[in-house]
Amino acid sequence: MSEQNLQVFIDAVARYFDHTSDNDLRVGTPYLLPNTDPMSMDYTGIIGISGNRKGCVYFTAPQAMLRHLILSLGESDTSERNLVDVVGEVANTISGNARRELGKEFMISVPVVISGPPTSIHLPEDLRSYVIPITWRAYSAAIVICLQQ
Amino acid sequence: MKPILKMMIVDDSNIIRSKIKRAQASTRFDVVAVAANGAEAVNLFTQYQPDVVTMDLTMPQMDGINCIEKLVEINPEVSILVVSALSDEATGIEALEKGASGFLLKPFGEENLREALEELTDHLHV
Amino acid sequence: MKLDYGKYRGIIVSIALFLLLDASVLLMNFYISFQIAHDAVSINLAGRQRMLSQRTMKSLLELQRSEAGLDEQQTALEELSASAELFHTTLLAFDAGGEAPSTDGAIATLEAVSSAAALDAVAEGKVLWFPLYDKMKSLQLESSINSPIFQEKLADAIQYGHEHNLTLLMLMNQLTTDLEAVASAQATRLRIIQTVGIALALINFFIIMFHFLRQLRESDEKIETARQETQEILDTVNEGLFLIDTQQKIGVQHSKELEHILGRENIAGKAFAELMADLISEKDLSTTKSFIKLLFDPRKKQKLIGDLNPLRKVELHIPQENGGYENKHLSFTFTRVMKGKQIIHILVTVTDISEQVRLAVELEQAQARGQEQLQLLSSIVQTDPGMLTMFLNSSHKTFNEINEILKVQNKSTHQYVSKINQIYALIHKYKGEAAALELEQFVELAHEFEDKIAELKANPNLSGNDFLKLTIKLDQLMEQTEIIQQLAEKVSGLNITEYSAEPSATHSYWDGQHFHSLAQQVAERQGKQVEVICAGFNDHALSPNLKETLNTVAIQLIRNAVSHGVETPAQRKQEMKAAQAEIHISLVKRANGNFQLTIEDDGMGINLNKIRTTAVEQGVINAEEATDLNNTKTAALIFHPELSTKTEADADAGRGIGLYAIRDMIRNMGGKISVSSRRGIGSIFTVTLPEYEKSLKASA
Repeated sequence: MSEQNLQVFIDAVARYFDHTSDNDLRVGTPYLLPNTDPMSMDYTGIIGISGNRKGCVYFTAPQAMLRHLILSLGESDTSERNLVDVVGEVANTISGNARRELGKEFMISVPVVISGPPTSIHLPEDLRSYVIPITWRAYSAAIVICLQQ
Repeated sequence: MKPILKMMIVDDSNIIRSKIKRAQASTRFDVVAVAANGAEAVNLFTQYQPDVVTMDLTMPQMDGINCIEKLVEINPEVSILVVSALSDEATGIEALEKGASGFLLKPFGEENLREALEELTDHLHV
Repeated sequence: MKLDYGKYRGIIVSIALFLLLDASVLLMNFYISFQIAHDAVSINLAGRQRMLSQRTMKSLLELQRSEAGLDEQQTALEELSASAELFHTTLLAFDAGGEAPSTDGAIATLEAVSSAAALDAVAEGKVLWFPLYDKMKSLQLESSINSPIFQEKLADAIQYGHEHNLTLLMLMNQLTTDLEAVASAQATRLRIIQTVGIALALINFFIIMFHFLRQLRESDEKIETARQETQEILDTVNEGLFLIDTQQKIGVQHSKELEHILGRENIAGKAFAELMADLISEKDLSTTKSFIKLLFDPRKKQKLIGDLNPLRKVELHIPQENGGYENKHLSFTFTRVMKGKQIIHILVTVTDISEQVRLAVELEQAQARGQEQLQLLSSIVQTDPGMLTMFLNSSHKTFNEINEILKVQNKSTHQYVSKINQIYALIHKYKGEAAALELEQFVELAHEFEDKIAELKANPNLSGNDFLKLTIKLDQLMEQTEIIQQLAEKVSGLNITEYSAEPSATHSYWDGQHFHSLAQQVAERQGKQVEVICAGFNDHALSPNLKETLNTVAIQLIRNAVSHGVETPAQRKQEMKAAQAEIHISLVKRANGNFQLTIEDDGMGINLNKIRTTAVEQGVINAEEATDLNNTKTAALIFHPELSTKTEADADAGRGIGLYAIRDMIRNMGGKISVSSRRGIGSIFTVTLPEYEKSLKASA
């Protein structure tokens, strides 16, 4: 996985947060995580990837952060539906950006959002994922990228 | 009894030309003309009126596709076999749309070529 | 279209027979009706005979009546004559066949009677009639009615008439009755014939119905069976099968597998282009459409255009319900379907060749990996398995430590710098170990890692994102290490990852040979000569962990000694030293249970002035601090993370982080490191480590 490719996903998330009223997104130091113990928070938007490389990219965030995010986007309704919606939006941004930048190399699917512990994130257990922690205001979320060779 | 057919080879490669010629020795295809490019092929075609033509696609001075178009204009009944190494199917299909009847992928064996020519002309011996 | 008569012969014959029967009945009808009409005439005439016999008698009697006038008598005679003639002619006609005037004045033709009773009546009638007829004839011959001869003859005729009149009447009556009976029998026969004929026609009709309904049902059954078989084939076949017409539309039937292969439903009747839209590129789609068009052109030779099929082997990304894609390698073949000389359809066969493609790719990859591994193998087989185990374990530990450092999230640039230094120390230590085992590939990767770190260091505005480069490098290192590990396991049959936590009793391999070869390597690159002399490594039972730490420390210090302490042979000659330097390593156990590792070289010692200058140049300390610094503190600067006295970075040292990493590691184990040095004589590094690791997790 080349740096440029990974950067596309990070930039996509950054671009999404550009639209929030206080653009306070910070990217933490990326690290590796064995897939035997995948990371997930309250809401997760998953994008499937195939083509030369197969795997997935997902954005996972705590409920509190998403509530705050919705409010900062000028929306007052923080119901479950909107929480799912906003995670879907971030994942959509990732998917769209990635499609534009990497469309030649990869097939990038439309996102699927799941709430709660992501039982349906199936990662190949013998691989590692890249975890890119992000903080926005006081909240931590993460972009997780797992691609097969 | 299958008739003896007059044949013309069009290919810019000397090696391919002689390879085709060699493959046709002692068959019923009588090589009457050999052309190295499209323009030459059109001239020789008018002069010798071959029944069968093997045609390369990438050649200097009028490429194979244009050449096929010209030859079919002169004689719509001519049987043309495209012999090309093109990996792009669309170009091959275009050649057939212009009037060629078959396509043989380079590289080919002598046996492949002979079979292809028999197939190409099977409608001529009724 | 030519009608196939064979198939319909049965029904045609049956219907013809039906018509024939009907026609026969009709003909019979005609014939018998005619016959009945004929009989009616006969009956009529026979009836008239009865009447005539009486009228004749009456005329005779009237002739005799004396009071009658002459005219009347004349009239009676004429009447008698007419009646007698009529009776006579008719009787003869009944007897032998012939013509007789009918009641309406026309001439009727009678056949001779044939039934026994009629024959009798006619025969007997003739016997009785002829004499009477003769008598009447002779009456007519007489010229005068009033002549006595006439009267005599008349009396004779009347007397004969009286005698036989009743019998004659009875006979004529018998004839009439008989003729009526014959006619009635005729009518009965006609009814029977009609009934039989219609019955036959009905039977015929039912046979037709029964036979042909059965045939129809049978052929329907056959069609149904065939249809079912086709359906079974389509449901079961492993390929996607469908037909395309000249409009490039898909037929109404297709194999079930097709839906599965393409992940599409409601395929029947769709345009081929619609089916394939989004599954293949626009270009491939338009090329395929042209290709199919060529197939419908009978002038193109099917066998000679197969190479132009753009979907011969194609990779499809099929959208899944969960939003992902499934990659499939498919092979489409297009075959003409002929009816006579006409191309009516193209049969498309879709085969999933993903597995074959996957196997082919795997084979290719395996071959490539084989090549790569072969190269690695040569380095592994030359490496002592125990040492390799130690190296790999240490590598995993180092990588995890680096990853843990990355995992800790922080905010300030200062913290980022500290992070870089920690990682730098770890990777540098790792590089030394890899170099010691001559695992050039890893040395190279570690070196690249260090280059990336150097890039980060040059960046004054560090952000977390910048660390992505390092994470990627770390990933690569882990991957390569895993490969080596798998390879080593295969080579040695040893499970390298597992090792006993208990001190190992056998450790004869730890003879210090690798220390020597490491020193040799480093020295060779720098044009130096060196010998490593080891002592005490096999005297103690060491825990693997301790052993590993000691090994790492020793390697780093040996590299340091060769790079920084040992002079070139030429320099040593000037210093009146032997060309080959000596490095003594010893491991002893102290009374307090601590292990003490000593590394002593006979090189140039630490150049304190140079350290001071470099430290100032690299901004570690400022000029004033430098002048105030005593020798011990100056010497301690060699453990500073950001100090390097070598100008160019290479695999041997040069980034100065080595000693920093060592000190870090030793401190983590609860030990300490010190250095003493004398200019021109050499340096001694003393490392003290507790026998059992203290539970310090400072860097984690």
